[in-house]
Amino acid sequence: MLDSADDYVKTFLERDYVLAREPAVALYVAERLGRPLLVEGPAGVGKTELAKTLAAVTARPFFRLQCYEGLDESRALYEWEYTKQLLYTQILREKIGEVLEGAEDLSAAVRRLNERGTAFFSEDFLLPRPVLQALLSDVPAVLLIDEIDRADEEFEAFLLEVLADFQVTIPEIGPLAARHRPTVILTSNGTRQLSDALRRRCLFLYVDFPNREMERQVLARRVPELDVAMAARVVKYVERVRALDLRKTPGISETVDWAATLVLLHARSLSGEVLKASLCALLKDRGDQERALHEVVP
Amino acid sequence: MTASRWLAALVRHLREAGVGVPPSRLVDAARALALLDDPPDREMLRDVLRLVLTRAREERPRFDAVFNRWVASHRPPGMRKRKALSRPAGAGDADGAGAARSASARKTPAPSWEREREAGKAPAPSWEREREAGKALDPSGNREREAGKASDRGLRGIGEDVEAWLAWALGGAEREEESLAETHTPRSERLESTVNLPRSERLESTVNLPRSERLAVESKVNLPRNERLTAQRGGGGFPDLPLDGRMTPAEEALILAAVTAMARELWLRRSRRSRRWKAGRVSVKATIAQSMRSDGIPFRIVRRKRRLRLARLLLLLDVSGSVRNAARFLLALARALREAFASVRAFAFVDRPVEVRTEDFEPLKEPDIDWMGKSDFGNTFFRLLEDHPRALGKDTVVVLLGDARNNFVDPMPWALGQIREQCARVMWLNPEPRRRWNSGDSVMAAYAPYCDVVERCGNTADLRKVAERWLRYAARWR
Repeated sequence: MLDSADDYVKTFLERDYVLAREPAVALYVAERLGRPLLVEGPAGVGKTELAKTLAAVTARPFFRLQCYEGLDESRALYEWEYTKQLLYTQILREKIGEVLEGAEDLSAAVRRLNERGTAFFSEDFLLPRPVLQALLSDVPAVLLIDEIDRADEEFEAFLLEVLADFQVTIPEIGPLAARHRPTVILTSNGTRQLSDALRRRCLFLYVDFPNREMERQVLARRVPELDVAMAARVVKYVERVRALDLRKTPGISETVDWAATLVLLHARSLSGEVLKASLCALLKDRGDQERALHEVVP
Repeated sequence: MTASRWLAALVRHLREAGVGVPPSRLVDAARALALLDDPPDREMLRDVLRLVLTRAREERPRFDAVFNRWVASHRPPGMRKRKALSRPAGAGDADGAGAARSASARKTPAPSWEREREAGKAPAPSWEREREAGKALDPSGNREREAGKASDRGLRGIGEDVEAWLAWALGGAEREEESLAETHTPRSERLESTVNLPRSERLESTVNLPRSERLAVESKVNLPRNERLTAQRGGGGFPDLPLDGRMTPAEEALILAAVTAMARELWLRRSRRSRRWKAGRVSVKATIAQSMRSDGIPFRIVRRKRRLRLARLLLLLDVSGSVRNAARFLLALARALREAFASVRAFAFVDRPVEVRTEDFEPLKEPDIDWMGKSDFGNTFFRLLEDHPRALGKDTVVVLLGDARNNFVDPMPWALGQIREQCARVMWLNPEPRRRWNSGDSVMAAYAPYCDVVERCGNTADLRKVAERWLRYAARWR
């Protein structure tokens, strides 16, 4: 855990992540308060990268849960290893026979098995998924719950216990509390409204597209081969493109890709031909490309 | 003012501005403030409090406005003026800062509740009343003695006794509510006196009552004929009020509250039904395949997942003249139901479409709308196609609100036809009574063939029907 928001900015910069002041403050406060951080913003502004870089700079284990429609607890939290349970039942057949030896009737045998039944529903047969892995980690971990807005509402509700108390309740075992409280970062592209209950349990950070100066810094770090004047032109052009009503507005990652493409093409200016050849790296929709070519003057 | 009171007052103003801050957030905010450098930097203070006290993007502008107002009039304890920082060491002691603070407070007008307090019109906060009465709950055992020191410690000092002061502050708030409740007249008397008031006064006096009481009043009133009929038909307690004409702020607030509550109720009902549908049928094939992993024993029954595809809602709202009110209520409805759709976009128009910012869905704040212009539906449809082609898609439900009064200019119905071709549905809502459609400059008949639905939307009961229809359009199971 770093000592101030400025430390986050510095250490992130060492990993080529240009961290603005507001996210730096958010990370610092979230880690100090031990609260999950909900990061919302358009796609491609570096939300996922934020969590990854945090894990890297603090040298902590990183667990990622990619959300999608239909995601349930067996993929997010845990699953019983049925095959291992069956295998052990076969291997321990003789032992089970010993346990049941002398049982007067069926109900007595069931009672005896029940007394030892928990052996097959213990942590030994639990297959932990990312959320449980983060909770049971021997050292504090970073847990990224990516694109939570893609998951169903039921899954959001299921996460509430984890986010509030950093524990999960497994019916067969009972509550399992985190060994070390992980830093939890949830990301959302805002494609649907998240529930109030989930928002209440998190600190809320909105990350928007960066301003010109910051995007220029990102390019200088990520694509150092691009000269300063060209980087300024790229950033200005991208800013104008973002002002259009596009199907997919380009994020920072697309700007970096486009800048790298321009370097590969040895482009010295943003002429029409260069744009035609390289815009595929910036805009991922044909209609968007045509609009940008016709409506944005470099 | 101590740091804890400064924060509690800020939170109270935030709540008044519609930023809901639960008590747990107050504790977090206090803990977060304790992490700040001393003296805190204003920008840093704003960032930290915004991070902890807001829950959605829409709340951020409201937070910023309240924060800026509050910090301008009540500097946080420990934060000095910029020029004070350049003073020589030793000159900026606590007393000096206190004097600067009081000077600043004299210059800036105090909030209304403080002015009222000073004039003796409003009661002092519960904690002050209790302190004066000598029965203040002292959380740390020596709160009163330590109050001055806490102030000197600045915002960092807040974290040291945060639990205690919060318990004290919350207890105070509850006690204040209880004492207020005691001084109130009984509910039945209160309702009885309201029922006999004229309509406009009645609405004004009930707007701040709880919803159940407001509806109780409306049900007791000698309602006009159309309202009575709606009540007899079982309008679900939802008041049937016209959306056009001049309205008092109280009437407007009442309708907005009723529309929002109605929409949420419909949405919740719909969500419950959706959950049942979502379970899907048992897939025998997948269950058998899954059981292979466990020696043929079907430990888990696999169900075929039903996929929900959400539509996008696009509102195109005439905001000229008498239609303006209906547009605002329709936006309130869209705001309440936006979870039902993949996205909601709104354009207001007089003679061309102007996108309404979705943060607050408030067309009256849009600077680009030409309020003096004449309604031109044809040009609006044409400009929508030209300027915002991405707004339309095969999953888009287009909802038009307008009286179709085109000022005798070319209606260009073909433009609406093109919109229809590019979207899933077109629904036209006309606030005028049907008998006035196609009279004068109204060209409803020219547009109707390109619409899937043409309905009247002149009162709140119509809005309910609209909401039910939207929810039917919103989702398709696959």
